Amino acid sequence: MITELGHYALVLALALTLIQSVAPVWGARINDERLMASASYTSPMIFFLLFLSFSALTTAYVTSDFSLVNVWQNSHSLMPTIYKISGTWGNHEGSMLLWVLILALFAALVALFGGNLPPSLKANVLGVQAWILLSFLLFILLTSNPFERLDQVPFEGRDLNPILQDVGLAIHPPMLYLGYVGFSITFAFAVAALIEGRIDAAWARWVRPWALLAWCFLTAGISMGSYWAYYELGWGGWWFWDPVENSSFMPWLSGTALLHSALVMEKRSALKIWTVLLAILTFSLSLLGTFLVRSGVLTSVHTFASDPERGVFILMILVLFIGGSLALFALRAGRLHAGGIFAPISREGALVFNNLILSTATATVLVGTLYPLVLEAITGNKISVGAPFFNLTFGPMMIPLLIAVPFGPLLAWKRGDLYAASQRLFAVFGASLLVMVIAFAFLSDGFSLAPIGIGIAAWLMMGSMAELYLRSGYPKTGFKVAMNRLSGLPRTVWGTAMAHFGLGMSVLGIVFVTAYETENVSILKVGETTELSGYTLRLDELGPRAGPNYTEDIARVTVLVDGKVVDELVPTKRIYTARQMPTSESAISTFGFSQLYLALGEVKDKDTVVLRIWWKPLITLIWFGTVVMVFGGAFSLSDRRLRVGAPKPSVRRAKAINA
Amino acid sequence: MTFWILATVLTLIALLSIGYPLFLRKRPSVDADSYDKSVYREQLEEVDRDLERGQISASEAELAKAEIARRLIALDELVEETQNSDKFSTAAQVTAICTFILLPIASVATYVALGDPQRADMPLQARMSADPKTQSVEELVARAEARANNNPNDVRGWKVLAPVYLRLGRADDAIIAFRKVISLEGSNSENEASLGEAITIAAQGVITAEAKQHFINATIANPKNIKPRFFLAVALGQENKFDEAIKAWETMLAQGPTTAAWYKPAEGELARIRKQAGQPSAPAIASNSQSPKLGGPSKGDIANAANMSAEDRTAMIEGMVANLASKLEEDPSNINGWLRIIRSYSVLGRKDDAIAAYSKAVIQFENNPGASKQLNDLAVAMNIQPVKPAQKLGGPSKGDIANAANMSAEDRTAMIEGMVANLASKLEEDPSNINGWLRIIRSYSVLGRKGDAIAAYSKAVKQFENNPGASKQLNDLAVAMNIEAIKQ
Repeated sequence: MITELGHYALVLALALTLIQSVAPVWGARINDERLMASASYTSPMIFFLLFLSFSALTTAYVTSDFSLVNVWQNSHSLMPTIYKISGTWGNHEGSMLLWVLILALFAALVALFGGNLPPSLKANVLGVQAWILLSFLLFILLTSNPFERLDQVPFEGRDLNPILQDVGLAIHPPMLYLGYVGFSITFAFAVAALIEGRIDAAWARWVRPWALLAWCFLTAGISMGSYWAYYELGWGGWWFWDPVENSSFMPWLSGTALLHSALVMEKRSALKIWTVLLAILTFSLSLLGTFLVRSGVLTSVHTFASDPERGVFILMILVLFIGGSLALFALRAGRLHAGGIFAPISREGALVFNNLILSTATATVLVGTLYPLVLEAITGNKISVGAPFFNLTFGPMMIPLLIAVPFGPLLAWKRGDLYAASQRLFAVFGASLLVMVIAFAFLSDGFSLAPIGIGIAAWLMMGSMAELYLRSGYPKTGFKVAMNRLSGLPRTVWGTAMAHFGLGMSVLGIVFVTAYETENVSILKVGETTELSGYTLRLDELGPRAGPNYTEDIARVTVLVDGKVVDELVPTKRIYTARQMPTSESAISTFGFSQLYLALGEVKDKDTVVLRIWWKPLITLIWFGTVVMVFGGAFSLSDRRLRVGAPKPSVRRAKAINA
Repeated sequence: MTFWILATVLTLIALLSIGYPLFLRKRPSVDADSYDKSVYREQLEEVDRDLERGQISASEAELAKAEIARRLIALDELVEETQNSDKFSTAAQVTAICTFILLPIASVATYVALGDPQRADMPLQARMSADPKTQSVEELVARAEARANNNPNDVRGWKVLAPVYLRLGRADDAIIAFRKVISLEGSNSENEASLGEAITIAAQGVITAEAKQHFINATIANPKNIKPRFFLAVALGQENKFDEAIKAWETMLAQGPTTAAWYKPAEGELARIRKQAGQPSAPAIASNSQSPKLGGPSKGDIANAANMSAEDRTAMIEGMVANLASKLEEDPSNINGWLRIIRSYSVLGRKDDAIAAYSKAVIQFENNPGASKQLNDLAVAMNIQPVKPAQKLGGPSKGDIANAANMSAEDRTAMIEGMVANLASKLEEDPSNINGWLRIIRSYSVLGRKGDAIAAYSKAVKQFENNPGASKQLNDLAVAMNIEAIKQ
């Protein structure tokens, strides 16, 4: 009955969404307060219903109710409980349910915390959000119903895809979706503004916290996905330019651009049209990503749920929303007033520069992702546009952007002084140069670009701290005053510095691991040792082991430095019995920010095995950097500036109503 | 009924979320532009704060404030006259009526079309501990499987399962189960012979080299065991070694006894081999139609299989082949299916069909070197010697379920007996499980084994004499089942 109630709640949510997609928009059109207000109540209710529905599905997973097709296909009674729970969204139907749950969550959040929004804007935003929700609820109920039942109920499930049986998967997709789908709200804001035909600085102020929230989740989601792929797929790589990764990276790039342009719009009322377009494009890219992943047009590690028939449905949604919003944009953009004027060298100018590069980078990734698909569709040739393409195009494009980052916050609004800003960054420049020279001297054997990359990372990290330092006035003001000033700084300033610092950390990690990674593939007998970058690895034991729903070959490897045992690693190779599918569980040992990465290769015989070993210097900085970025975003979000209170009703009005 | 009550409650709550803002909500209205104004006022305060902290110069602050002020002025020009709209407008009335009528109807109608309100949840745990009497054969097997999987080193579980698998036609699973039995209990004549039999049934009656080895092991372990010798004699026939086969049959028949169940079938086999030996040109394989899915693995099964008329046997295999053929027409990408059907046609002597299927399969898999090789190997082998079939692992097919449903009452009882035995041994290990006792007493009663039921009941009463709750349950059951404890 729980299952059927969950199913009913899903249908009921659809019906209520249908109402919400009409009533508030109509209300805004004819200026009817009651109709406009209705969305603020239906949105949380829809979220509640979808939450019930999702919980019902989770319950079915946890109790191994194989009368549901979805559970039978993606679960196994012997799976540990955490994977039974994460199995709920480890498949197409369940993950789409999570998708709409998060769509509804954002609508509910706007309904509950959007008290500062003008009623008509709020009504339109929630109305547009309901349109998106409606189309995806229809998609679920018509093509991907997770509550479908089986007549002959089997006693055992087919198991969750083994590579998805991992803690990373338990958190990664919900995070990613929170980001992906979170940009639906900025999209809804943009479309609502276009419907109203009025966009101004206040609009940017209302949009920014939502964009920032979505951005934080998306950053965390992508980062977690990258770490998951790193340790679970056993290839030792942390980013593959896989189309699925790209499809989450594109909204991130344009979402980052959106964050920055919304800043200009709020402060200077400029870049309005551009910001609206970015808001539309960011969510369009999210939809495109969903289409690519869910339709099965791609063949990659992530396509664990694909079905071409569903693809056509999502394509229709895609065309409807992207086409519709762009058409609306074309129709209304002319009516929007251009905003403030600024000189090329100014804070605005720096942010435009940022936007130009980020959007070009987005376009590059888009081309690299779609070109092979289009080519295959037209000529039937299958080509793969891999890392070389992106390294040659995306990489160089990022360099000027990264160099420019520290300048941005130091330039004044409207008309900046590049010379003055450079002067203030002079010390940072010198220090970065020094780092570069040291890197050349100690790390490089022969010519390499890596020290330049390290220099840029140092420039980024120190440069982003420069603003804080300069604002504190230290040492002129003395320590106490400086601390006071620092703590008095708006949190957005801190947030900016943190996010930029985090970016520097990630760049440092990327440069280091790309340039100085070492690898060793050895065939080892039990008792034999091999060396890599100063670490001695000894194979102590090799043998089979049984897990709850898999069997595995394990190798016990002792890591020694100068004869002293520093760690013991147990890489394994698993066979999941239900699907007869092998996976490799790598073993990782962390030393500072660097990692030793072990993957078990072919087991030759009883006591001989192929071991792949990587030494990955400073690799964890890549992910720590993103964590710092997310903290920066969250810190910004807590700034009071982004929490404008709702206007108090005027006394006169209130009396008039009481009377 | 509970479902509809809860569904109604949900629907009412949903209606409330739209009814409240439309009918009840009273809120002082606010000028639309005051929201914008509050943003700009905030911005002005911010500029002041920045100025105070010395983060911007006075002239910059002046410029910024002027700009924000301009936005405030622009706002006044832009905002249209706001009208008092907090009345129950026609639009709101239309929406309310539509919602309250259509939402429940649409939701219920859509749900009824998609869902099934009668369906209960079926959590695995509950199904596992349900009353065995109420469960289907398939469910009972699954429970036994779960028990065996949870205690993979308990040989009893596998011993119960293996023959049941064979009876259900799940020969591949039976092979695994018998292998488990051998690995846990060690090799003995009975186990080896059973494994060989399972392999033979999985190979559609063809005695493969592997099966043969197991039969040989079985005869070595116990030369008196007739089952492996029977199969070995059949194997000799399949290998066209007619003289040796005739000898083997004759030795067996000579040893008697003539009343044994296998005696008559053996005579039949001997007669057929003699006939074949007279016409060596006939395809040797065709003569062997030891049927794969005829019956159980018990002592009686060989007799049953052999007692069937040759026509019946052939008809049955033909039916299975036809079934397989139509499956392949639907999904021609299944290489194992093709291999099996080619083999079956050859065994049935339908050489033309075998060749036709082979040609089709070759075209189907021309781009698949692995499959092509398998096909080629089979084609070569089919003229020379029986081939070891590709093994398929997997859950019960539709056919298996049908078989289970067609199981006779005897078979069903036999299976339950096996399970009861399993339960009994469990209870011997852990006698504190009241549910187990209740179940076994009930099972004995149902199976008509009154003596056992009474014995179990007496044991249980003693076990739980200090537990009034359990004693009461036992007593109630005893009354219901009409049994009485033995007075001690």
